[in-house]
Amino acid sequence: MNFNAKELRDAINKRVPFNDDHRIELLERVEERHNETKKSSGQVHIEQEAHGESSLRDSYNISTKSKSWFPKLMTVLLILGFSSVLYTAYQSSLLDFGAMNESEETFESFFHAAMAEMHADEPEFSYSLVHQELDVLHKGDGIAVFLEQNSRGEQIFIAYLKRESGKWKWKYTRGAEWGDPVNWALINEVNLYSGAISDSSIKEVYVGSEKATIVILEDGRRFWYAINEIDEAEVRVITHDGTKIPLNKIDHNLLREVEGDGFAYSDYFKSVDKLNNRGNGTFYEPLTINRMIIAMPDAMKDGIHSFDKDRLPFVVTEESAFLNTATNEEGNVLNEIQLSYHNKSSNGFSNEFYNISVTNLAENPLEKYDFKQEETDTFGNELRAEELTDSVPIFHLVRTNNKAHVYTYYIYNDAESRVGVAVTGANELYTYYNGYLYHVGYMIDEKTEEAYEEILQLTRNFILGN
Amino acid sequence: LIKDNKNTNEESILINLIEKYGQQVHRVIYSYTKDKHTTEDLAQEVFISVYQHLASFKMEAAISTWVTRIAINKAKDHLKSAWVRRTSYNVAQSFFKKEKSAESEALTTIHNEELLNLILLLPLKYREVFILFHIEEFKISEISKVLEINENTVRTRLRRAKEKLSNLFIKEGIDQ
Repeated sequence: MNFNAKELRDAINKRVPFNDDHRIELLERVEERHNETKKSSGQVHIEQEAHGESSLRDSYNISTKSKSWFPKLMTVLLILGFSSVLYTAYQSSLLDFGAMNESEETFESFFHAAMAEMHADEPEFSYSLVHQELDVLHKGDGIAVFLEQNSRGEQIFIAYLKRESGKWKWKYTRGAEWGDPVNWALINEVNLYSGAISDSSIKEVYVGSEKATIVILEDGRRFWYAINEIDEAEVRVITHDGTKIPLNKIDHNLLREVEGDGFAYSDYFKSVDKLNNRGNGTFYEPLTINRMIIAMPDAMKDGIHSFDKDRLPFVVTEESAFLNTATNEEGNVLNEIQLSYHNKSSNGFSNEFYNISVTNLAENPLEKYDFKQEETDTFGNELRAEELTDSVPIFHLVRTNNKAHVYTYYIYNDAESRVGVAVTGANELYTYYNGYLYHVGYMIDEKTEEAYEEILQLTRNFILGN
Repeated sequence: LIKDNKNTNEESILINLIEKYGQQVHRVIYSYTKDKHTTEDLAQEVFISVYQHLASFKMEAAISTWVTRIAINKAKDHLKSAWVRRTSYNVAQSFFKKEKSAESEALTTIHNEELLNLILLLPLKYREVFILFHIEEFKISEISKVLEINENTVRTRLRRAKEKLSNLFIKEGIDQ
């Protein structure tokens, strides 16, 4: 396999041409943007929160930070005639700090100084303090909610700060990512619950009997927090139509979030289940299957049953369970669990395997198209419509020629702590039952009808809980 | 470049940098995003960043390494969204399949366009080392600096990238 670097460069150049006109345009746009950045740097904005709470919102860039911003800001606010409510809020916050003098640091000035120190080596780092509340748990403590633009993209954090011996101390921090379906965290030490709200249908959040404070950002995104003295209080949301929904409690002691390279899905059935169009994925380090059964989200518990691996036509040398959470095109939270049973050779390759993936899905994708009309897939492989129950079909895609849709499944790279997607060819089973989508991929040496039938029966037993 | 132009103004340095590295930056970003318009937008971000940080550029680093690193970071930031990552992957895959479907099932000799489509199907961590080494002709030591991984990891990933590419060739019935 030889590669001609120049020819390949030319091939890319054709796709992203960069001639003199492009050069001039790029230069002009860079200069324009650079000038805009220079003009806007150092500006601080304060606006009243949409929901009327006395929270603050300022945009702040470390590189342009100035200690003299507050008097200037107040002057601007007074000139512009900003609401007296906001001014009062600011006055109160000053009074709360007592007779402030040069040596006594305010909550906010300490917060900014701490951020500058923590991120001094990150030239492209920026943040915005979007909300603060003082005297939350005790007199002399405070909560800061802030957005960060860091190497991982944009994240929102909540920090708990406390004044000790006359000085502010940064005590605890928890972060969240927008769209993360696992969207609450707990700072055990102060029983501070918090999370991002990704779903617009959510009206209120409750932690036990405590109604959470909801912080609304400029662009409408929301973040909530609440303090409840009860350890591990139930967190639930109330939607606009009054429905109460408990938020998934993920056992973080067992589940560790890791990077992921994307989603596995059925290449043939993706047109109806749209699982290739998931976003906001959160991936977890795989666990043993027994541990996953303990740690999996409640939403998955009715879809996972025991599996008799001893009936597989190969010796299982490695088994593992993967979990990821994501949102689909409609914004619904989907959990996916893949149980993997592999026979691996000494060089780490899976000679034979059986993977079953279970995804909670509100709608039955098989209602969108009657696959019973098809006898083969796009590549001419046999598509058998078998029975899961009398009224529910289970489709069995059996490879009968040397071309087929790719089969993808999750694998884990220990060295990089990363969930990846392996691509291969395999026989597949696909069905929807009781709110769960089941997708199996298996590769076995014994290519007989008896073996295929045994795999089908094992899968039926798993799905139906027999 | 910067050293030789100590007394010239920032704009002329920027012009030089765009002239010298503009196309390369576009190629590198495209290898991550697989989308022309996103590539153009991110290339702008790269040169804005370069412009803003000219003063802090450390002379011990090669400027090409520095610019490439910024380009890669911008591209990776963009791909942080799993949504974006998945969509891009599908675009490349479907593009390749479309081209192949018109061909006979006999073994064919691969053309650069097809080869590029296959390279773009490689998982990101293999694709990036492959492209930097085989297309941008960076040295192993330079790739190690740009991607902030050790040289042995670069070698291992290069080897695996070739293996994976070879498997893709077999899968598509292409003569190597």
